[in-house]
Amino acid sequence: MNNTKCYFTENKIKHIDYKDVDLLKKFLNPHARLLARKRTGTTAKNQRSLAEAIKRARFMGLLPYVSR
Amino acid sequence: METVKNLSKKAIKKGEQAIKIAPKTDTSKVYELSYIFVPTISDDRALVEEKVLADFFTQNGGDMISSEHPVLIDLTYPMLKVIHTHREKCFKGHFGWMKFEIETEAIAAVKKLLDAHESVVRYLLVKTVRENTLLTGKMTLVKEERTRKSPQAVVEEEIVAEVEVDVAPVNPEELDKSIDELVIA
Repeated sequence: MNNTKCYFTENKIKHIDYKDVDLLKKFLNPHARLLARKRTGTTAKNQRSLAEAIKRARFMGLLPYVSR
Repeated sequence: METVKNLSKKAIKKGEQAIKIAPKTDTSKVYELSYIFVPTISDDRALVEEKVLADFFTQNGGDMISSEHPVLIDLTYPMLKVIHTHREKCFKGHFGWMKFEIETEAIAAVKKLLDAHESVVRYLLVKTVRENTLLTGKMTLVKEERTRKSPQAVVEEEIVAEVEVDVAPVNPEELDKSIDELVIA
């Protein structure tokens, strides 16, 4: 993912759900770390909600903490 | 030894007591509970356990908004569940979720119930909104295939790839001619 526009603003996504694993995976690198805003282009507010959603998904075993 | 159902009932009784003590107010909020049941229970048992949880919320004045039945999934990392003195490592789990509206005072009882629940490996209780927050409306909980291959399998694949070279059909007459040319040269 290498965009200059916010994915969530463009698609009018108000709430980022931690259960949307396929969506969240787009914002992770191969090591399962969250990509920077510089790479994803998300707004600061959405990046914070995204980080929270990813952390919740990790806690519930839907996403890994570390990979490779 | 007590069965899981008996323990669940016991936990519900505890929760009921806690609610009676708590003062009633008009403040109710939308919460979402996602849970992972131990993989040792069957699919049917997981559905029964889900029903027990749902009944608990409705008994305590909660309104169910939406839910998804538990599905057996591969966990991305092993989780540990301690039952009495036995430590069980779970690589899989029945994952499900439910969204409900309940008074804030009752949440303590919900937590108590889930903490005492022997089938729950892990749970997450968060405040949310009434509207559907999932993009597709439902989760795509499909058992993922392991993409990572063992080094031996990778080497075998490479060998097969080297062997499989496209060879065009050769006419025997042309082959003889080319050999003759080579011999003469």
